[in-house]
Amino acid sequence: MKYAGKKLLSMLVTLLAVSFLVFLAFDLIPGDPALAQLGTNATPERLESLREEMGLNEPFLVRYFKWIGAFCTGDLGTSYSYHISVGDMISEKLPISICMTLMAFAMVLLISIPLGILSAKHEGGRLDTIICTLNQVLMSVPPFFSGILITLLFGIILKWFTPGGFVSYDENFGAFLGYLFFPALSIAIPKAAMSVKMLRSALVTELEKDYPRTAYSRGNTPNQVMYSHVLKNGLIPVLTFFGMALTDILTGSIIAEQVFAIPGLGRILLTSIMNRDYPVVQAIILLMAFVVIVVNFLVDLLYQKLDPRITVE
Amino acid sequence: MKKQSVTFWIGAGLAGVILLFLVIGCFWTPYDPEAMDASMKLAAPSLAHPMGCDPFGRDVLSRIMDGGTITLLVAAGTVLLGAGLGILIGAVTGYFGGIADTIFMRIADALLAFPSVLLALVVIALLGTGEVNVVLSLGISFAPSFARVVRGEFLRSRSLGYVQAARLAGASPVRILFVHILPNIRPVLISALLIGFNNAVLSEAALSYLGIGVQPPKASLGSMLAESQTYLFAAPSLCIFPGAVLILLVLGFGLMGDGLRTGRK
Repeated sequence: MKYAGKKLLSMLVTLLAVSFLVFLAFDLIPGDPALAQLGTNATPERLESLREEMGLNEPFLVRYFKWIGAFCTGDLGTSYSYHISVGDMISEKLPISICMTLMAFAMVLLISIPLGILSAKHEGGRLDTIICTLNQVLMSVPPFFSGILITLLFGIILKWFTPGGFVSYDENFGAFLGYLFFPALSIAIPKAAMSVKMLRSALVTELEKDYPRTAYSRGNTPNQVMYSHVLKNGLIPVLTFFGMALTDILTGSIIAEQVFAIPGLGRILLTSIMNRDYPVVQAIILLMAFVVIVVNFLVDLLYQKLDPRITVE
Repeated sequence: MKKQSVTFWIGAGLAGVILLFLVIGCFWTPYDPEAMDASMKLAAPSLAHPMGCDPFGRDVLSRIMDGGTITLLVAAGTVLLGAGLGILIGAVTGYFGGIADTIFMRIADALLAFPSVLLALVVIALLGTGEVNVVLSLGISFAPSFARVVRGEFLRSRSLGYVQAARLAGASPVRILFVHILPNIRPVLISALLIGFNNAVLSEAALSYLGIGVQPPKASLGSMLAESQTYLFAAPSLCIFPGAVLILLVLGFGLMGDGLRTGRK
């Protein structure tokens, strides 16, 4: 429990630090949000009253705490360009990004764990060499290029899906998931290649230790040794990587959305960056950073659950 | 010179060929990369245009040679900036420890919480698009991970015999940091640099693909891929070549890093 408490504290400090950095960064941008909102209608009096209304005349720290307080209660501000609540803009798109991230993550697990085990079992053999070579190549494929290749192969040549034919989740959930399959695959492939490599080397290291030999000498079959002894220890170092992969997939989804023309969070983020719609950018970035930090925290907790030897010094 | 593994040499060969190809592109390209020829719109690969032509009739080979150079320059700039900052911060915090260490590592933790593309997006949102800003944004986002690696190495080296000997001999801290310790952590540094370079190439390509990196009419491998997507149906070869160059470059550096790391074991 002491471990969890300490990690929780450190997570809260990081959350606070991140939110502070985000707020500071966007506060340093030259330009006046009140002026941006009024545009050409600005008169000195209206500007002053809007500045007062938006709380821009208050000291920096007061504004920061107000902002973060509002953020925690779900009030993410108002978009400069669309004049609607950022919270509404995001929550509408959130299911798309969540579904795609989870799908891609599930694919990473489903592809990499069996292949990693297979490769480690046949270490040095022909199968292992093939898997390793393929891995090295796939790891070097940029995620957007894998997306383009998948569009070319499955969309245009094989016609298994219609590129650009995105269906919203509230229209037809099945078709929605179906359309997300290939984008998720395009994010998952390079990540899966990397995790196969990690898992393989972790398993190979474990197999060289004394305890698998002992397990063999007691009459266990290679499968028993692998699944009931080695796998559990071998997965521990890979867990951190899976945590990182989940967050990479989240950012990878920004790119995949662009490749496959999916109107998700990443799309809003990009258009908002180009339109200099700072409240939206700020909210999405903070939201993504929060997810990353919370995932890292959960990985740390899981870590200790799997290996009770890990404690904080 | 220690014998390197085969992997290293395969990687070095691949990366060398692509680098040579791109370096030639700095001085000479078969055609002017921005010259348009309406009669050659979306031409398929031929002897005159080995990689075909793009929708404006520009020679794809020339554009790759030219755009690849920008990708390389941006990646090199990113690694220089990121590694420079990272080494400076990592060396000082790792060697001296104390309050600066705590503060800098907290900041590094906070920055590492952002995946690098996301962090680069923040910086671009603040500074605007363009190559220089891409270098700045990626350099800043790569610095914390370099600082992490370097800090660990300095922390480990601080109590080693040769450092203590240097200290007893009256060497100044700056001399100990950069003349004594830095050359000794070279192997770790080199593989961190190779990984960093690869990430920089991939991130630059991703940002340019998203349209917020290198701006037209300048070509970059990423922006060429973005352009090619519209014509995927009419001219699939348009995306294959820039993508292949990108993959071979990253693969080459990846194999080099791998070879170095296994060679050290």
